Amino acid sequence: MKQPNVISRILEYVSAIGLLGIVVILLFQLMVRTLSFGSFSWTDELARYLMISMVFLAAPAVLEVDEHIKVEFFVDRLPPVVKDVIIAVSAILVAAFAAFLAYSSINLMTNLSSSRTPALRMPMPLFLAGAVIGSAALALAGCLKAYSRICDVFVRNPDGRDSEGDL
Amino acid sequence: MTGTTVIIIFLVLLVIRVPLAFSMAMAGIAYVVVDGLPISISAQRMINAINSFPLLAVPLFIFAGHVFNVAGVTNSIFRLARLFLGRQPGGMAQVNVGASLVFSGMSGAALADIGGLGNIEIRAMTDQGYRKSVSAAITVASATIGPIFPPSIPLIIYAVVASASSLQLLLAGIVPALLLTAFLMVQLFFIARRNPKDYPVDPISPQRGDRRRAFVSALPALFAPVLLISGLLVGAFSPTEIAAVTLFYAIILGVFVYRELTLAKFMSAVALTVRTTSSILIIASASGLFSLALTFEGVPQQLSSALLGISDNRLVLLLLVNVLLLIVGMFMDTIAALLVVVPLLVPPLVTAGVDPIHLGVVVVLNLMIGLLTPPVGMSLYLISDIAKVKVEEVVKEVIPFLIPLFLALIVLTLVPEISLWLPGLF
Repeated sequence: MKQPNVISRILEYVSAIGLLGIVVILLFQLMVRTLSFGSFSWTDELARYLMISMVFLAAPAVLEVDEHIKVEFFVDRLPPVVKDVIIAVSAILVAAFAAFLAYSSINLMTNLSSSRTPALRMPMPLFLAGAVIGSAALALAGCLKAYSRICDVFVRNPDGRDSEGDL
Repeated sequence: MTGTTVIIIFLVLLVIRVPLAFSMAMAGIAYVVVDGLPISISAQRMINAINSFPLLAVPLFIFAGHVFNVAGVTNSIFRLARLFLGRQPGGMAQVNVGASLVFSGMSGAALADIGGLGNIEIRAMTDQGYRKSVSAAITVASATIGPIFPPSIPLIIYAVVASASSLQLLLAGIVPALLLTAFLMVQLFFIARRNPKDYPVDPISPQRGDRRRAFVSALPALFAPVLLISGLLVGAFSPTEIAAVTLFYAIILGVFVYRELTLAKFMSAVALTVRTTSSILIIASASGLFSLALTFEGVPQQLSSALLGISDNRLVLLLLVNVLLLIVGMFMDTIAALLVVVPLLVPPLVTAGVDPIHLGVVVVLNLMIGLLTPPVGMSLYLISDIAKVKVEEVVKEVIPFLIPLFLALIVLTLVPEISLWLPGLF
């Protein structure tokens, strides 16, 4: 199994904690509502916050281990050299996209710097932090992947495998 | 920038192997940049698209599926199905379908069903003389039941995208899943009657008390779908809360009842869930930005007019949609297809009088059939890896089993009451 770099791995651990947090919060909400017939509005907001953060924070690791859903049918039918070039181009595009997303989230964070979330009264920049950090790390992971793919265009192992071990 | 240009950019990126989520988001970003919209709108749309309470059910059901897979539940379910169905014509093939139905009440994705039961089913079938490719084909065909029967991750995602009730959609899947099971079992019955050598009956006859013991042993596992469905029927909990309870129950079962859930297995389930969830929900997130471009350019309205221009008869439209989705399903992953196609299809079909709940069941069954068709049939690749048999061989053997699936699809398309009857009671 391919392993992501250390930053992506740390973010993945944080995502895992976020997932467990969602479970605990929802079970707590359910328990409180069942026992006392009351409910909290902050549990819903906190669970959503953790889910958004989890999705963005785990995205770099998913990119590095190549588990993002994609259509490989067409590229797989091309000659190896053309395939390498196309994969390198697609990796560069992903890195550029992630950098733009990071810039866009910082922009959004700045615009909403004085706002707070409705239930928890959490500062909006904190609510958006997962997306910002996740997209910045995605940009880094994208650059590393693009670099390794560009190397593949120029250097291919004698057994026909690329730097990531794919044929 | 026109809507057509946005779609062309998206398709080009998709063809050159850019991950689906990023293809959608990049097409959306191109629109934002060219049309001079505020830069921050990209992040805002992507974050808001997954800022949804119903969507929380997705990671929780994925998590529950992974925990059930490692909690030792599958063996007891398989044993129970074997003792009750093994002596029927088609023995182990019938057991395969029966076990899939029971397991589908715990896991919400076809691939999880194949991953969970595939190994044990194929081993048992080949031990009794079934060809490996036939065993693999039956396993993938029966796994289509899972995402129709609650809990169903595709149905929940459809509900969020189509702004429909996830509770009603989950209820709507129960009868169609039973119908699908019945169709598959009847077909296997007739095939086995014609080829008893290739489809042998289980040689082991249950002894007195075996069935009772197997039932008692599987009872805690069988209680999971009961808990889930009764929770939905009573309406005391939302699907998201039911997902949390199902997960909690899976953990209890794994630790205290079947005693196979170790900390290491639990942590591997957590890691798998995080990656699977991120790869699915990042597409949902990107679809928020993609749909911004399409909505601003009035693409759904244009498609609506085009479809209604062909016919305003709901049955004709539904049949057209079936053909379209079968083609889409051949090239796209289920979740991806749901997020790309559903927002465009729902408005014209609802205008033509199709119930969005009925449409949800038809759409998901279509996309499940897509899992069995090359070139992008994820189930085929997974089972070929598990069974160690070539994809081409599985494809050849799966063809007969497409007949009951298509038959179920036609019946469900033409008779909406099959899907709508149960949600209508609540």
